[in-house]
Amino acid sequence: MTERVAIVGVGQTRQERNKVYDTFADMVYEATTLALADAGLSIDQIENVVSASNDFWDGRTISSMAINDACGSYDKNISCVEGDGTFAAFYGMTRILSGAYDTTLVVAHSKGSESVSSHITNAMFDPLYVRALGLDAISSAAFQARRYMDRYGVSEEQCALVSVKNHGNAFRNPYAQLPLRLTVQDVLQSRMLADPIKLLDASPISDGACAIILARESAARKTPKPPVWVRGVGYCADAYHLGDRDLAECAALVQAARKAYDMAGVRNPRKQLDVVELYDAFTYQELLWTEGLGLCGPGEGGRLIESGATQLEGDIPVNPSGGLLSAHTVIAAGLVRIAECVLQLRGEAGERQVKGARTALAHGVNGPCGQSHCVWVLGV
Amino acid sequence: MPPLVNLPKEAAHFNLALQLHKPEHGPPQRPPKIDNAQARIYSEAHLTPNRRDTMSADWLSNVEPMVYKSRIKVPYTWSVGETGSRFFVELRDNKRLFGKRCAGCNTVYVPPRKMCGRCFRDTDDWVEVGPEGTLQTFTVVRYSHELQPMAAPFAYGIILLDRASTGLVHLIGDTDLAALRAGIRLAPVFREERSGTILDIAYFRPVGSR
Repeated sequence: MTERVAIVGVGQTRQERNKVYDTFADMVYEATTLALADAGLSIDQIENVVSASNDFWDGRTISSMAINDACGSYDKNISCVEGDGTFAAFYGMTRILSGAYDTTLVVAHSKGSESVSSHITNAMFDPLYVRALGLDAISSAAFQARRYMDRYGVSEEQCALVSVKNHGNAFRNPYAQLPLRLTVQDVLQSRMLADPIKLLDASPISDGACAIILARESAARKTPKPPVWVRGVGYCADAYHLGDRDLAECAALVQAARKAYDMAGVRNPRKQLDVVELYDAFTYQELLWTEGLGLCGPGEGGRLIESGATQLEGDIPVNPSGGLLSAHTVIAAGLVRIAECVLQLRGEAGERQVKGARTALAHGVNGPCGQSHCVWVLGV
Repeated sequence: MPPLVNLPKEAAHFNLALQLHKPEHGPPQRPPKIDNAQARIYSEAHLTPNRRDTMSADWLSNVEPMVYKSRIKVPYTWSVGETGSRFFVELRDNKRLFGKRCAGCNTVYVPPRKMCGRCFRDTDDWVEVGPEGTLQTFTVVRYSHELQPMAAPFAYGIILLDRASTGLVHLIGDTDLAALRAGIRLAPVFREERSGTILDIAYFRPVGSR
């Protein structure tokens, strides 16, 4: 990168099962005002906006247009990234690096409470070959879970440990929807959805919004809090058709992580990263993504969590926020991972603080079974 | 009462199934007051509190949270394309399955594609595949929603048809669900009446099962 970009402000709403008092715009306004206050900036100092929002989830097209009053976009350039917030943040960063803007507001929102998730996620599949089968996010994830677990001998008990850890971590995060005290048995005995994914292996339905403010170095240095620098970013897409992919692997994540690590000068992620916030839409995904991120070898994700290394007190804490298993606002979830990393690196993460964190990794996913990945390495 | 749009009759079957965590019944809960942990985060971060908390409690306690029920039902006419059309015509008329091979990387795509996404070039030959194949992965679905063609419990699989390089997603039927394993052999069961869609195959059945 020719010039440094920093995150200077973050804001998030609580993630809840049903924010019945809030419209999309209300949530976007809340997250935006919190981020501006955090950055010590006024809305006039935001030069452009990237909205992460999805027309299908919102039930209206040009979903960015519909919330532009809530994020100060009158008379501004607002664009929409219809995908996870990490991808929107990537676009927001490149708008600064282009030289066209000094600051970008990135704000993500959705409300899972307002639609039927299986219907929405069914629609991401090809209408000619797959949609009529009724496949959705959960049944397709089950394909990947089975393939991954078969190949490497990962057990349902090892997956259950992720649920126990992340729901437990959520007690320390006031923004998380589902703090739960669980045992492995609780997870194993929870209702089977699609083998091997059980209710407590799956993330919940959530409502929420999250905003971050990116700034080029010259502008970042003027904000009251220490900037959190973007040290590396990587983005990679896998094939679309599930049958074209080797679902037991995550080649796209390996590539995205490699790009981010190369930029950031990370050669040993297990040692050099202090905290990781990754996209655990299902328990098996935390295990598989820790492998793709190089925190352990292929097939070793189960042994990694068994070792305790990814607990809050471990040497590579993963999802101290509680992760997606504790709150999964579609579209916003990856941006929340970035916001959580920013709080960690500033020492503002309260009871979920990883002591002395100086380098963090945030990870987002778009599409079924990790179809595309975006990896951020942040540092102070 | 919150207003309800007059929905057509079939909406009565609009099954709001699979809400993983149902909202509580009864009047919605007042959003919780900011607790001490939250207040500490705000004060440490010099943030202003949530705007809702700066409003007077009186008028909020009298607000009934309205909801508006509706649905979007829009027609589409998707072109299947010349490649897909050949696939579905062969399926409908001859109960034969075809893939398309890229001569650059020798991948036989099923369903067939006009282009190879890896080599970024046109695909070349038509290759008859299957009808039998090997199960790469599967799941037994135990929840129901109205878009599923079978009642739960039922199974999906990704099937690598013989001579294909990529897997086909489909249903697995007429089988002991508990006995499903990756690696078993399957064959398609064709519907008597076929119209040129993916459900001209009713499901795949394990070979040798009955």
